[in-house]
Amino acid sequence: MSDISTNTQVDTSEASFGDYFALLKPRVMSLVVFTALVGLLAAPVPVHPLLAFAAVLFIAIGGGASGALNMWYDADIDRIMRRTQSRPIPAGKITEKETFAFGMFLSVFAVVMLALASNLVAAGLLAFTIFFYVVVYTMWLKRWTPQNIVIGGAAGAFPPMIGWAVATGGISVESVLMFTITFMWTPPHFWALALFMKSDYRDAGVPMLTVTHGRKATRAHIIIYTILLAPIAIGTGFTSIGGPVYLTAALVLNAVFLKGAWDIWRRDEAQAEADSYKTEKKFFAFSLVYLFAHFVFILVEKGLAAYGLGGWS
Amino acid sequence: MSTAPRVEHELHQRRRSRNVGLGITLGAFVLLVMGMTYVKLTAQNAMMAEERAKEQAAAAASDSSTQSSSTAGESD
Repeated sequence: MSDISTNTQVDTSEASFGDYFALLKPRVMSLVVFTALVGLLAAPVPVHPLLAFAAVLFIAIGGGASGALNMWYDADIDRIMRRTQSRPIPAGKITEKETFAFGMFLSVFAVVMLALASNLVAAGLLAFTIFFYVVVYTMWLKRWTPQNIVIGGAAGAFPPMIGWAVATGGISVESVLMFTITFMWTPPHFWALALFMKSDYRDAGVPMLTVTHGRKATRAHIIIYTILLAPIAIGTGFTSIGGPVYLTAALVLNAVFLKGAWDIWRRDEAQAEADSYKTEKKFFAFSLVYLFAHFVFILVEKGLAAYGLGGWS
Repeated sequence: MSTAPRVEHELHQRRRSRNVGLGITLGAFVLLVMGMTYVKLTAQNAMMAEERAKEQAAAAASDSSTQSSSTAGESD
């Protein structure tokens, strides 16, 4: 008998660099980067390109850090939902403790660095965004109320306001409107997703509107929010960040979005199941184009202004 | 002596990816902070130079007005 034991087992679940990056929710981060950049570029005060790059990077890291903290807190339901089972914690690649430390470190790092790169207003808004997403949305609203998406959507709507604050050091009507467009867009976008991803939220016990109030009510909520969103998105066209090009695009985009919401509202579950939620999936896909296009046309107006063409002057 | 090629274990590949990734990230961060510092200091220097130029111009203007008033006093 030998008292020497050889450990031949290897920890096959050890995380790679990509797994840590996945904790930052890169897809959500891309939306944060884009909207923050538009907010920064649309502002009337120019920012040095390197400082603008640094500011957007730190906003993205802050957004990513809040995503990591969301994954830490939601690890239990991520293990249940099919859509989230491959995330680093449910997949067993990174522990919950590591994720918490990673998220907290990056949150503080991002806020401090943004304060150094730009100003305290922008840094304060970023800190509030992280707090809102992690504490107000993830810890409090998500598992408590079916209106979780409505109020929680504010966290995703702050980046253009932060970008604007980086350039101007303050808040204005234009930055509030960019916030409101994203804020009002979030509920119809996610409820359309919830309509065709039905089993996931129910299994995880998340009080999504489809689970608590039923699908008919969800369809009604989608059209109500889409109707409320349209005047805000179109009205932005009359401010200093809008102009004839933006206004024309907003009219077309909102007409198409309203038509999609109308189609969803008119359908019942039997019709939706018959064509595998084709209309809902189409509306969800268009909602991504809708938001992206509004911000692109704000940039187009800014670009045209450089040639004396953009805006209303 | 074995001539079989040494195959790197997947675990080491993952560790290497983490180390290389962290190294590149830290290197990029150092460069970014250097760049930010340079831009901020340059902007601050430009502002200070502008303020100094304004002060000098104001001082020169007050000097010339004092001189012209004293010249006017002599002629009286």
